[in-house]
Amino acid sequence: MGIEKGRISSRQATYLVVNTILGTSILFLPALMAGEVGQDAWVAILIAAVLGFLIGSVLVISLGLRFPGKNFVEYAIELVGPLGGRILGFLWGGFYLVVNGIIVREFGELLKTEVMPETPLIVFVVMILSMAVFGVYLGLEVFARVNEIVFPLFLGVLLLLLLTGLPEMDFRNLQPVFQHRFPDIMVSAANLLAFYGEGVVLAMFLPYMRQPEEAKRVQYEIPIILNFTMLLVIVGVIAYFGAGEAARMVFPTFELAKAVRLGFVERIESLFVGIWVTSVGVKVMVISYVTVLALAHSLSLRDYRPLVFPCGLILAVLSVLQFADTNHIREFLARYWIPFGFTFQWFIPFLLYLVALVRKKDQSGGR
Amino acid sequence: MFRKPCKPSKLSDLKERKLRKRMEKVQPQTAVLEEPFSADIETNVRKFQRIFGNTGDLSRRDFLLEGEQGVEVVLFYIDGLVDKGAISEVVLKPFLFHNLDEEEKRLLPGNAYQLIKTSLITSAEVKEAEKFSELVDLVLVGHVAVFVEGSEKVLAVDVKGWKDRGVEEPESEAFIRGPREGFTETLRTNTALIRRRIKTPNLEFNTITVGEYTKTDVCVVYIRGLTNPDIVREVESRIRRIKTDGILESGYLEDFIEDDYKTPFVLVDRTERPDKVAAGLLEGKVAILVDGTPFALIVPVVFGEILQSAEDYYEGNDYIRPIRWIALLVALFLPSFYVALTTFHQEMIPPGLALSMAAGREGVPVPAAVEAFMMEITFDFLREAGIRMPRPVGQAIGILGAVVIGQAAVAAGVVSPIMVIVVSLTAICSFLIPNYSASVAIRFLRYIMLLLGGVLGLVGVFWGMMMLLLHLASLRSFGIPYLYPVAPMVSRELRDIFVRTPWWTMDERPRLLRTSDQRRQAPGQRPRPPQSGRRRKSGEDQDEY
Repeated sequence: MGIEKGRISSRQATYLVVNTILGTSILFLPALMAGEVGQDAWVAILIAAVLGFLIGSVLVISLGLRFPGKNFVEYAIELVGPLGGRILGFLWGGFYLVVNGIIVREFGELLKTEVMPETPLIVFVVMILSMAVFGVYLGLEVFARVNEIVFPLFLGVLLLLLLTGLPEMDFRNLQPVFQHRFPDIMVSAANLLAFYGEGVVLAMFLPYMRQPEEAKRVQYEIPIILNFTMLLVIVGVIAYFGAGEAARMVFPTFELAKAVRLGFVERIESLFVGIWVTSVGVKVMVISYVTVLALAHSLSLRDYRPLVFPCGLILAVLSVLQFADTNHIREFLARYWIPFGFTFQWFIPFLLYLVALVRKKDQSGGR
Repeated sequence: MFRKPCKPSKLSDLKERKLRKRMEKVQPQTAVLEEPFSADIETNVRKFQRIFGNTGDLSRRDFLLEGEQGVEVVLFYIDGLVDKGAISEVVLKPFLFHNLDEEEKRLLPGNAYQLIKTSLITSAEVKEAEKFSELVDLVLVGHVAVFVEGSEKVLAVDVKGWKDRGVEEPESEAFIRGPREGFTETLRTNTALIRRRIKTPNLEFNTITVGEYTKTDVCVVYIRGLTNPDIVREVESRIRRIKTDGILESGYLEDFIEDDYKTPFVLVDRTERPDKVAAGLLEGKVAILVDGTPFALIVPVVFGEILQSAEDYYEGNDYIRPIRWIALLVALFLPSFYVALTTFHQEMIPPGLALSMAAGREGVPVPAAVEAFMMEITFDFLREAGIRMPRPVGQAIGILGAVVIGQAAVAAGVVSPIMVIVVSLTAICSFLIPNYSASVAIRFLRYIMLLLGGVLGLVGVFWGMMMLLLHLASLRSFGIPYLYPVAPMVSRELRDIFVRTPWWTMDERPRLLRTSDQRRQAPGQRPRPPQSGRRRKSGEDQDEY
C-alpha cells in the first residue's frame, strides 16, 4: 500500500497536468517563441506536440502501466534497486524543489512588477506558498477537485480574452510562413519540449487514477488540450501584436489582457491575474506534492505530510534567495533550462525505461 | 507543559468532602432502580415513591378490588403526561364496575394480576415491568403503573395524553406552492407525517434513546432496501456514541454527529417540512427526528443542496437556481470586489462611473475597506436585532435601519452612496440562500474576503476564493464529498445543481449515495402530444404544421 490513499479521475489528472504545464508558461512562452522563430511559432508547437505526445506516451504512460499501482519513485526502486531508486527519487524531489522555487519567484515578480509595485515580494511568496501548503496537506484528491473547478474557469477566461481581442487581430501578421530556417524551428520546438517536460509529474499520480485503463485516455487528452490552448494563445498574441513586438514584451498574454476591451469593460488584467493566481496556485501545489511525495518515498516515510510545512519554508527562502531578479531567472532559463530540465524530466525516465526493457520488468500481467 | 499534579490544599480538601456529603443526601436512589419487585405491594409502593422523591406531579390512586377482602391495587401516573379520561375509561371503570362471576371470585386471591391483565384492562397497549427501572421509564413517558397485591410484576398501561401544538405551517420555510404541514414537537406526530407520505412497510423508524436525564427519543428514518445500509449504520453508530445529559434540540445532535466541526458550513441539513424529509428519503438519504423539536436532520448533504428549496420541485420556475448561484457569489464577493476595485484597480472602472464614485467618496474619512466593514457590521446588527425582537419593535428597527444604512448616512458624509447600494445588494442576496445557517456562514466569510480585498486587492480575493474552495473540497458529509457532483464532476447529475430540469429527466438517484436501487423511474417519460393513427403510420417525428 502506497502513501497516497486518494483516487482521482482521468479528467482530474488531465486538468492537473495541463494546468501544471500551462500555469506559468502561458504568460512568457509566447514572447520567448516569438523571439526565437517569430510568426513560425505555431510550426514549432505542432512539432513539439507530436514529439511530446510520443515521448510522453512511452516514458510516462507505457512505463507507468508496466507497474500498476506504483508511482515513479516506487518503480524506480523496483528497477534500479532500493538504494539507487531512493537516490533517484531524492534527486527528483530536489529538482522539483528548485523548479518550484523558480515558479514561486516568477509569480511574485509578476505580481510585484505588474500589479502591486509597492508590496514586498515576500508577501506574494507567502501567499502562494500558504495556499500550496494547505492544498498539499489536504491531499491529492482535494486539490484535484479544486482544479476541476478552477481550471475550466482559467481556460474560459483565456478564450474570452482571445475572443474579445479578435476584432483587432491582424492575421497577416502570421505571414510569411517558414521565414525561419528549419533547424531554428527545431531548436524552438526542443525548447518548448523542455517546458512540456513538467508533464512528467503525471508519473507521480498515474497509479492513483480510479481506473488505470483511463491512463490511455489521459495519454490523448493531455496533448490535445495543452497544444490546442498553446496554439490559440500564441497565434492570438502574434496576430494581435505582431511577432516583433510580442518578442520585446515580457508577458505578452498579460499585455493582451491590458489591451483588449469588451464594450465598456477595459483593463481587465487585474481580473486575469486574479484567475491566474488560482492556476499558479494549483501548479505550485502539484509540484510541491510531487516533491514531498518523492522525498517521502525515498526516505521511507509512511506519510508525506510531515514534509509539507518544512518544504514550504525552504521554498519561501529558496525562491527569494535563488535569483537576484527576473533577468537572472530569464538568463538561467535561457542557458541552462534545456540541459537541466531534460536531464531530470526526460532523461531519467528514459534511463528507467531502458532498464525496464533490458531487465524485462513488467508487472502489469500482460494487459 | 509538564505541570506536576499539585497537592490539594487542606481547605479545598475539606470543602470537597463537605460537598460530597451534602450531595450524598440528595443523590437519587440509583441502586433501587435495578432491583426487581417483591411480592409485597407495600414495599414496592414505598420504594417506587422514594425513587421519585417528593415531586408534586406524581399522582397516586389506591383502591380495593372486590370489596373488603379484595385485592389491593395502587395506580401511579404523572399528572400532565396522561389523559385522565383515558385512565378512568380503560383502568378505573373496568376495575370498579366489572362484576366478577363466581369462578373469577374463587380464583381472585392468587391470580389477581393475571386476571387484571387479561380481562379487566381495556387498553390496546399494556406492558409488564419486572424491574423498577423499566417501570420508571414507562411512567415517565405517560403510562400508568398498576401495582397489584401479591404480584412480582407491575403493569404499565399506555394512557399518554398531553398538550400538543397542532400541525401548522412551518414559519422558517415559507412556500408559495407546496404542502402547508410542518413538523411539531411530538415525535409520534412527526413520524406519522412521514409515514403518510411514504406508504411502504420498508420505511423504518429506528428509535435510539439519548441523554442520561432527558431520555430523548431520536429516530433514524430510512427506507429499507433503498438506502445504503453503510450510511444508516454510520449514522446509528454516531448517535449511539453520544453520552450526554440531554438532547433538547436537533442542534445538540448535529454537533455530535458532524464530520468536521471546524467549518462554518452545514454538513447536516435540517428542515421543518415533512415533504422535504420524504424527498430526501426517496433519494436514499437518512433522516433523523428528535423528540421535542420540529427540526428534522437529513444526511448526507452536499454544497449544492444549500441552494435548493423543496419548492423548486413543485413550481416549474427553473431559472431560479442560476439566480441563487449568482446571489451566492454576490453575497460572498461583492463588497470585497468593490473595495478591491476602488482601492487597487481603479483602471477597471469605466471613467464616468469612476468619477462619480470618487465624488461620492470625497467626504468619507476612512478607507473603502473600513467603510465597507462598518456598513456590513451595521447591517448585521440590524438583522440580528430584528430577529429577536417582538414584531412591533422589529418594525421600529426597520425604520431606524433605513436611517443608518440609507440617505441619512450618506447625507452625514459617513458613507458613500455606492457603498449603500453595495451593502444593500449584498444583504438582499444573502437572503436568497434558502438554508439559514448556510447564509450565516456566507455572511461570516464575507468579512474575511473583505479584509483580503482591502489588503491585497483582487489577488487577495482570488487567494481567498482558492482557500475556500480547498476547504470545501476537503469536507465530507457522511463520506460524501461536499462539492459533489461538481467536483468530483458527475456531469449527468449537474442537471439538479445549477438548474432544475424536469422530473422525467432525473431517472436515477444520486450515484454517490450508492443506493441499492439506482433507478428512480422508468426512462423516457418525456410527455408527448397525443398522436393520431394516421400520423403514427407516416412516422413519429413528422411535423404537421
